[in-house]
Amino acid sequence: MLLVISLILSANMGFAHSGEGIDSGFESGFWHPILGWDHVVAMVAVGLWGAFLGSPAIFVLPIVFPIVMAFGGALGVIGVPIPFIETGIALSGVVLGLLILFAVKAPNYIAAIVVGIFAIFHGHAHGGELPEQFSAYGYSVGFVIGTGLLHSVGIGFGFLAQSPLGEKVVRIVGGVIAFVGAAFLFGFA
Amino acid sequence: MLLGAPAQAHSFLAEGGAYDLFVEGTTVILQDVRLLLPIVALGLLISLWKADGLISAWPANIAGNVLGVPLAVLVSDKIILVYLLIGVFVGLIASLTPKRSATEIKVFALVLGLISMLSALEGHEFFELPIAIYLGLIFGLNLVFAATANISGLILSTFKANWVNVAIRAISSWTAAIGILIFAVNFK
Repeated sequence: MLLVISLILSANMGFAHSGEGIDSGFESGFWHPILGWDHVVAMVAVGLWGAFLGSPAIFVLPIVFPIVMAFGGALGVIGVPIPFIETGIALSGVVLGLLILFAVKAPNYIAAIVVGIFAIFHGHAHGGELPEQFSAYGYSVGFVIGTGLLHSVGIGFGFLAQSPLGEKVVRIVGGVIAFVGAAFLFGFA
Repeated sequence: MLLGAPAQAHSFLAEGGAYDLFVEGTTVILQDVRLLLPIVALGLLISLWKADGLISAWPANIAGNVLGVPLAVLVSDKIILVYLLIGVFVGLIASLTPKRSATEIKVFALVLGLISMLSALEGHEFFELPIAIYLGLIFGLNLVFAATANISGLILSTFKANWVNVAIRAISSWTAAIGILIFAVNFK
């Protein structure tokens, strides 16, 4: 886990969303959520919180999120504006991170609603940034898969919460996520 | 197979021998993600319903394909939007509530078989095209459907852990999500 974190932190953030070295719609879409820290922290947090909440949230959230996100993406593609997109994205990191930090065990329908609201913001950002020079179909496939894999990472980490020490680690990670989200929210990142 | 004559976006070259035409028909399916996505969703649904569910659902799907051949003349190229929406619906069912009745599964298979053929033919008249093209289209559609259902079913029957079932359902939700986006791109 430490190796993965170090690899992630050493990645060149300057290429986030720039499309440098991207050669196809699929690649562009796949890397879009992964090269943006504002997306990464929220997607991992969804998986983490789901694992923290346990069954059935552990699979309901990663199933609901892509679908609602795609709906937000569709709105972005057809040009329906949603205000404060970047604020919503940054807030998702803060809120989800705090929910994990304080070990909030919300009812499943509340969790689905919270996650769903933020999914629309993330999806709209992806859909609205669909690059003209690439295949829209490949981009769509790429960013859904990229997002799903980030959820899987979060779920994987979330299984640590099954032990008392692991739960503490997961909650600290939630705090880090909230901190990163706040950095984006207040313009420090 | 993939080195055969390329499909010119459903216009069908209508030249070459039977094998070239057959390959062209198959390639139309394999090269268009809009045609693939709903069938993949159906294949995943079948495997989540029953690991060996393909045997029950396949005849209905093929019947739908065959029915679609004479009916294609009745639809415009907008049928692809309907097809994508049905595919999204099937992906949602597969991800959220795949344990349906046998009748429902067969209806899904029949409807998707029909609409997939209508979408592949996009208004071509009955027997306007060589038979080999129709056979290629049917082969392509069923190749993807059967491969998805079989591979997914094999995984589910081999690995009984709950997380495997969840992973397949998550992938089904991805097909629905991608379908929504592709619908928006085509609708725009």
